[in-house]
Amino acid sequence: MSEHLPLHVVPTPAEADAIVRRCTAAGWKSHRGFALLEPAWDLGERRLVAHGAVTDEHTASQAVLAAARGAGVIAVASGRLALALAADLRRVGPLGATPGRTEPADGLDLDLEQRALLNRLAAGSTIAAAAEAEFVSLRTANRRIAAARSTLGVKTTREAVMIYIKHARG
Amino acid sequence: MAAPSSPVPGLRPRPVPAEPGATVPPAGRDDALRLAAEALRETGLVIFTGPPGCGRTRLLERLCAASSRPGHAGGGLAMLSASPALALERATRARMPADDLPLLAEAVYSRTRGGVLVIDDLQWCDAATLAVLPVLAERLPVAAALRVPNRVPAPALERLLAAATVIEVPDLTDAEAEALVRAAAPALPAHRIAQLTARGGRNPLALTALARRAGDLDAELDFDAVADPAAAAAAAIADLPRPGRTALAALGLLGRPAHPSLLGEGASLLLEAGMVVAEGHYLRPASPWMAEIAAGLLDTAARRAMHTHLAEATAGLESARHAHAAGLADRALAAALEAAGDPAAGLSIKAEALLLAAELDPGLRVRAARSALEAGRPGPALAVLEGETGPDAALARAWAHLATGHSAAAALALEPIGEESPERDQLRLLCAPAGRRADLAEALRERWGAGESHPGLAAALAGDDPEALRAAEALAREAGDVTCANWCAWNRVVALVDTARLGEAEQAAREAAGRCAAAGAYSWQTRFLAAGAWCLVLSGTGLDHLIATSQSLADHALPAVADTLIVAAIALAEADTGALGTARARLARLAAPPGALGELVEWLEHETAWLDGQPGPEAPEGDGGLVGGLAHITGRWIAYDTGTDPAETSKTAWPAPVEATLEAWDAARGEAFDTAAAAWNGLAAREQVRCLLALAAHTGESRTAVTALEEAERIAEDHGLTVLAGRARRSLRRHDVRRDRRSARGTGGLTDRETEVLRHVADGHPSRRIAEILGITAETVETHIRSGMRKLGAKTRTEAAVLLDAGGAS
Repeated sequence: MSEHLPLHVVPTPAEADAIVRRCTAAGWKSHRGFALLEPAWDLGERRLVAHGAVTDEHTASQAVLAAARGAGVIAVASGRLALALAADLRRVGPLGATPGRTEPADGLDLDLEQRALLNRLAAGSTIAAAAEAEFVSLRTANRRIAAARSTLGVKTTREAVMIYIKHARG
Repeated sequence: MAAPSSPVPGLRPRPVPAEPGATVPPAGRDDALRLAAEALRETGLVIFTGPPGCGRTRLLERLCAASSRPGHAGGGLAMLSASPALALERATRARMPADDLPLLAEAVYSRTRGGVLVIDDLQWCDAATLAVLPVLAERLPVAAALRVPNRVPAPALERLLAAATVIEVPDLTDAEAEALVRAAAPALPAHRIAQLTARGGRNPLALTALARRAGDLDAELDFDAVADPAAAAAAAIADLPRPGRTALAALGLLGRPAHPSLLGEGASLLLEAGMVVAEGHYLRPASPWMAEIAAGLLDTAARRAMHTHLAEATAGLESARHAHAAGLADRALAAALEAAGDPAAGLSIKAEALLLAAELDPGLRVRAARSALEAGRPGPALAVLEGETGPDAALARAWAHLATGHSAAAALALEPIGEESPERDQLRLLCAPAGRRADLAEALRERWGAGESHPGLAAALAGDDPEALRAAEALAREAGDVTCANWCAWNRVVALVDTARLGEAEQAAREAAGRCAAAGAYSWQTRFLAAGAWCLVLSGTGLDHLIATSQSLADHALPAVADTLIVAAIALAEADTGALGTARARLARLAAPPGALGELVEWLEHETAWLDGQPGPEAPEGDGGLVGGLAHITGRWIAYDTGTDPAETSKTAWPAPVEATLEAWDAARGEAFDTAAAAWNGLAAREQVRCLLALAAHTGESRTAVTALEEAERIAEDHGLTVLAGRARRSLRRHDVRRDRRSARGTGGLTDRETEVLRHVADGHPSRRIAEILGITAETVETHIRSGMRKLGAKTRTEAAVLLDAGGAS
């Protein structure tokens, strides 16, 4: 699978809705509830994302089954149930992935926009050129680079680029 | 207790898996993979076993990726453990007939033929899956993973293991553990990595989780955040059988290795699961972090019950703490008082016990505060005195303020005391500003007579004469007044530093630290250790070694004075050895230094800025003592470099070398600096070098200048004073003495110098600082960078750094 399934456990319906919207925008079909009555076991090709509230064990196991069969799952849950659900979903795939925003697994806590900017800087762009090429304002580019610096715990942008590049290579 | 015969009394040894072809435990993860790959060459069943979070899944993934056959990966899921053949359905991506074993085997085989079947989390697989795996293993390779402990029914488990090559997941090696932490937290310094690996044990899950939140070590575990790896660990622990969970939680609450008898039946369970490790007669958690999580998972009632149990099973202060946590006030008080009264207890233990007791019985507050002061912990002493009135409390409060370095607050605390007592006057004298001390001492001598027998007052009257202080310290020690004796020792160290007797000061601090360690007064000990480190840095002895050892001290939570001193020592050592950026950042983090150290920190800020080639507009001002003198010397340099007039130096009595240096500056003649340099010789290498530099700058004769500069360069390099050595080299160049550093071409057509400069660029240093360190001008640095960039074909410096790194790596 080139793309990770969208698997999310969130505390509020509003957050769930936001993720569902992003999934549908990326071409996924949303399905309310976790009981999937499709005849075929494998739903991997269907690009289906099931969403809804999980308030009991039964619904939780339905959600886990849906994920195992290859459907995305966006569950609103809290407390112990949320933990158990998240633990099982994590065995199916990484939690928190959203279509169109696949994140490289290099262990660095940087988002895609930050990575794009750092890549441009490593390739010899100035910040202004990198901002233009990424279609963001200079202010936004500087803001994102500053966030990357503080995430990586360094003082200069050059050090941030070096750490990022070393990880991307290794 | 009689000597037990087995290494861990009351426990059976960890059972050896009894299956055909039982394997020797693999030496490392690569070894485990090799074993598995060999066993699966044609057909067969390999099962990885290990405790939660040990990395079984990752091993399966690596095995699958290394295999030339396509992998069919499935596995059990906790919530669907009753769902028939689900693990196989996940692997085949199709519905499976679970009620007919031969048919099931055939159906799975038809879909996985030619590939590898991978089944993770056997502990959650249903009976049909477990039964069919050995059958399938006769026809194709099957790799699986099983968590220990698990609740798979014994007969099914035995059948499965009998047919399999069982490989226990080996512990991470040190290098693997370090690599894991580095990957999750790239900017973490080495000593913190060591801390993390100690807390996380050899458990990959724990290490990753800890590294992710390495920003704050003491962050509470958050089990409600589903994204937190702690939640995954918590889920794994929740699957342990109850006795095991309880025993692990007990280990977490104890925070230390425990005897198996304390942990009950869960101990053997944990040992079998590999979650605890035998250490002599004791068991320690394989991953302390996991134990903390287990403790965090207890609900209030269970936690209370466990604390009650632990209060009974432990003794002394530990018992008191658990009783307190269990809400048993009377029992906690009794245990704490007993612990405090134990003659064998050290000062720290005694203070801890009394502080705990004072929480339960307000009548003990002053006593607890005094005890905390003896142990050198003014913070808790102040906290426990909160709201307490009366002369005794006021005296204790004044001592505490004094110990944190806030003389003014201490003087204020003394005001409400009406009656005259030797201790009050001792404190008044200690709090008094330097200028008024002599008058006050005179008045007190009159009031109390010359032969004052109160050791504290005698000590205070001893002022800053090291010999008198030594006598006062002995007197106080004889009288059993530990706080006062430590104060005398401290004042003696300060007095010795102020008179520039650094060697003696360092020795005195080291001796005092040893005494405090023996008495268990660890806070005092850290304070003396920090003072010792500061003396060594000033004298320029073993800087690199010092940075490493001091760092481990600085990582502990220290009282304010010790903390400021040790940070100052590290910062100066870093600045002198060239890590100017780190040093200045370190100083900037020192928010509010204690009053007594304000002057020192201010000098350091100016000094590091000067070394960094960015001297501040205003020279620091110091009044008295070695640090004050150094501040004036730095002020002269700043004035010299920026071409301004130096601040007026008051005619205080300076230590001899400072006096000589300042006189030389006033005279502005080369020879005078020769005397000054000789005065610093063997005392402070950095000041000796600075005097030689000044000599060269002020002398008219080129030959004298060159000799002095060569001497300065040699001393600076011997002591690792990179920045000053760079300055000496630059001045030498002005006298047309060149060190021939043009050299062979290094990687990819770059000269060694270009490579060197670009490496500094990659580390984030500005050109100005690179110039300081290498002893060349910033323009030359720029030239090197430009030619390096041209040769590498880089458009920006960052790109050049990236390309250089890629070239060096390949």
